[in-house]
Amino acid sequence: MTKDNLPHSQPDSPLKQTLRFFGSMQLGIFLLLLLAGVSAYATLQDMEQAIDYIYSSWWYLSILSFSSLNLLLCTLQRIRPMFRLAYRPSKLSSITEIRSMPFSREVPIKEHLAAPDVAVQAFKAVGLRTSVAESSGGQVVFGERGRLGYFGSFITHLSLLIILLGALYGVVTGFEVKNGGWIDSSFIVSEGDFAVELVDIRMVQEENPVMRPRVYTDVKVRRGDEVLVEDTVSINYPVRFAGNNIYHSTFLYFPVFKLTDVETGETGSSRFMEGDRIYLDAQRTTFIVVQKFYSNFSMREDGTPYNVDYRTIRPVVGGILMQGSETVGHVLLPLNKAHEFATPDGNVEVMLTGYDLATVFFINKNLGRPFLFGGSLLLLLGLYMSFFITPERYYAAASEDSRTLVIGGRGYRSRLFVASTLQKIETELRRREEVK
Amino acid sequence: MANLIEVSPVLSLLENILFTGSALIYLAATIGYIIYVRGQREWGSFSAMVLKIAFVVHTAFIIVRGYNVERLPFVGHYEFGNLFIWTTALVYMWTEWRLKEKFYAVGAFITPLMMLYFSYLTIIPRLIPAIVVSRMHRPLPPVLQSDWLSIHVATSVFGYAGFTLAFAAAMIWLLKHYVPANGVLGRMLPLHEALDEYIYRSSGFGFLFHTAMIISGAIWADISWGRYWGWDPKEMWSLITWFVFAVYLHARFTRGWTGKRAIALIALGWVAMLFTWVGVAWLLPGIHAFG
Repeated sequence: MTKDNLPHSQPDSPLKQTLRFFGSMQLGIFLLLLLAGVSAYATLQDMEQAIDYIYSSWWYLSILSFSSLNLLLCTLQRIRPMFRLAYRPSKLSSITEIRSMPFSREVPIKEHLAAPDVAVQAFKAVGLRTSVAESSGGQVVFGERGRLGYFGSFITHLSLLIILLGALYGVVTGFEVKNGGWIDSSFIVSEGDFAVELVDIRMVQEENPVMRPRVYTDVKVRRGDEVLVEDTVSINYPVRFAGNNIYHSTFLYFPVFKLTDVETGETGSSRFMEGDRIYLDAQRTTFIVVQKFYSNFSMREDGTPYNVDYRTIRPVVGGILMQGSETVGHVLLPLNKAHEFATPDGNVEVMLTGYDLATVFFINKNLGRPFLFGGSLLLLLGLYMSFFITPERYYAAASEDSRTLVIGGRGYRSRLFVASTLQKIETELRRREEVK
Repeated sequence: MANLIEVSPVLSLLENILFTGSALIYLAATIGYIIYVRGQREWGSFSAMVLKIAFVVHTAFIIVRGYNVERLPFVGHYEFGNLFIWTTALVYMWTEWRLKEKFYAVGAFITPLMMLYFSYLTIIPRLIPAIVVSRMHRPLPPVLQSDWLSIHVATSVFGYAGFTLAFAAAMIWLLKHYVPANGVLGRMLPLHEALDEYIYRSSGFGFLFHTAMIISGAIWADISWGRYWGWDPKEMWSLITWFVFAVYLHARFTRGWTGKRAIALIALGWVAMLFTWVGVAWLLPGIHAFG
């Protein structure tokens, strides 16, 4: 087959067809609806389960990946048409074309006036960027505004890609750990190659003590002997350094118990946290499971213990006394009040002697943050350009008998604005008394 | 011990009077707009004026409430609901001002939706005991003591208002489709083309602010909790609402979807928005449960 007798349009190569399919709007719409449906179903499940089995599943991530691919291809495929649309408008429109535009009207003009001059003045008066072009049928005046609006969806799509890439980069290069401690304790964050020293912890009660208090923790972050940062962490005020972030996650109390062997008088003291076991004999058959630390203990009529507020007025530890796998009963251990328990090794006295306030931190490194922030700003800009800047184009030419000015317009997204601008152009023409 | 701010009985009473007063005047505006679409053209501008009065009274309520709670009244169902209704009225009045009397008919559909939102703050909790909309004056817990709260909630209510407006116009489109064109109602309702653009523009407006709400929430979550996204039901339903309106905006713009298919998407988006606001709070509790 020679070049001359090729069919008018050749089918695209399989690669092009595939790329077009993956970048198609139909696929994009389908994937968005699919994501919406699956996400709605996931919210009906337990949140932790949904995170583990739906949002982290290969198929959910595949849908997200396909959506990203669709977004990327769609964005790339639209670059050239978009620039063509924005910068190469068809300025030459015949009278017939202008008359057949979605909105057009004919305004009579005085015979001695040049139609293009009149149109240029009117177009400029309503704020249009105006130019005049020669066509076979005479001069055609072209006016437009809102050119930036053509780039709105491109910038929106691009920003979403930046956000997705930023999130991916953050996940790949970052880490997340949870750790904490009490005053003068420290812990190592091996992922970030630094150690966090808790210099001081201060609790500031709200005016109303039922409100959760604010906890301020002074931290010193070290790498070897070098102090990287010294600052205070509290809720809504993380400490940031070199891409690492230390957030206040929560606070808790570590009760301190003194155990005394009643017969020998031997004593020992240790910190415990909720869930820990306080073993009372050498064989570890008798123990107390520390259940809860009540800073301001009270008891309801039905015997259920509760915290009145966040003040540390009546500290009590609630626990369960166990013998082997059998529950012996619930125990309440108030501050500085010894309780004696019988064990196979003899009686043991348990006393709550104090409690240490501890802070729990969430520590992470997210190098994708600048991309996420920049992408978000770009997203808002793109949406603003899409919905608040409306590209409009107007054309005007003298009619065949030069007695009327034919004006027409089309909008990229809006019809109402075109009608109203055409009305303004006509009003402008009449106001200048350049019409009959 | 109750976790409440002490408010003088006079100011508390004033707050309640302004709330009830604004609800009643909004109701009067609703009735006025309905009379307008039944063919009484002179009721259009009158109802618009009544709506403005309701808005002023509602503004006074929000100011008094803010004074009583000693902060911006943006937290909890009661305060958020009021702010949402107030913003919906503001956005609708802005379109009414911009487009003059061409869209008084939208008022007949937007004000009943505002009354529906009012009922969530007043009647529905009485009918469904599981739903508790507290009017108590509570201080902010530390996690909410952030400037991001104002940005997050303000963008949220503007987004919801845009979606509500789009839904109201969509309902008019549907009604216009079924009533005789030369009947009273058919003549009073705007043209399909105009409604289609009204829906599109309202959705675009709502979508921009809804996106801003998601972004501000993500930034705030990063500052407070160290992560942008926690897969919390509220976050997810905000995203689902975003997806649905994104589908509508794409379908309308690139595939030329107008008519019933577009209306169905707008209705779905509005239901998703409503579920994000109300449904999630009572059916799918998560970290956004601020009462």
